[in-house]
Amino acid sequence: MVQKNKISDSTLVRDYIQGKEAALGVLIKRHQQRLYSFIYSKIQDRDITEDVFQDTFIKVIKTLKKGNYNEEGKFLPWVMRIGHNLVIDHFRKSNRMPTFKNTDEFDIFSVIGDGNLNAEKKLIQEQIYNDIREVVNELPEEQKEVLVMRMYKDMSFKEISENTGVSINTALGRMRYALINMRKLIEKHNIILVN
Amino acid sequence: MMQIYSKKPSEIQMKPKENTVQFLINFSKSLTFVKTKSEDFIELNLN
Repeated sequence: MVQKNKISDSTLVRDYIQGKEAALGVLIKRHQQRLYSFIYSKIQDRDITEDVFQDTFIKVIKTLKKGNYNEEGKFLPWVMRIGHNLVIDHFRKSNRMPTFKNTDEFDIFSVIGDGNLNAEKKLIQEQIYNDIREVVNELPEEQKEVLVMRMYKDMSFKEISENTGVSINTALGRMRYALINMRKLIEKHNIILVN
Repeated sequence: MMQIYSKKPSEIQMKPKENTVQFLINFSKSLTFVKTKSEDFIELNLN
């Protein structure tokens, strides 16, 4: 159900930049579950998720207070992007490679690390990730854009639609074709995506 | 058909601790940026 009289993110951001501190609490509470769940889905550790969530909003606060924010109307994708970058920073700092779930319902987009992997497994995983990266890079630009926003930035199709300037149906179609094309490319290149 | 991914991250419903949110609100209240003549920012934390 659409909530009436809900203050938009852009209004809250403007209010906050103008000194209304209460607006920040509304923004955090409005988006906390989305951001926190996204970070946890990648990191799988409550304490680290808490830290990354906090660091994300510290960056948000500093950017807004400096007057450097210029993405009016796209607050959530911007916050999610900061969170996504901090998740990557975390994995870089901890020097852990992304892993691959070896199940029937494996998740090729998982970036959960495993510090106990041996050298051979690490090499295989690096190869898998290189293969995926190459497959994604072979997609047509508009399909790649939608796939990256959906799978790596956890954006809804409504947000993707707003950010790319196409209808939700078009975004859905591009995602569908991206997955179909990825499967074709995987078959064409005889890529094996299990460890 | 092969399922290429299992569960969307957004399906996991979790929230930060209340004291994390409160910390951010307090942090924001205590933080001020002052712009210098050379267009640099000085960060002041008045906690």
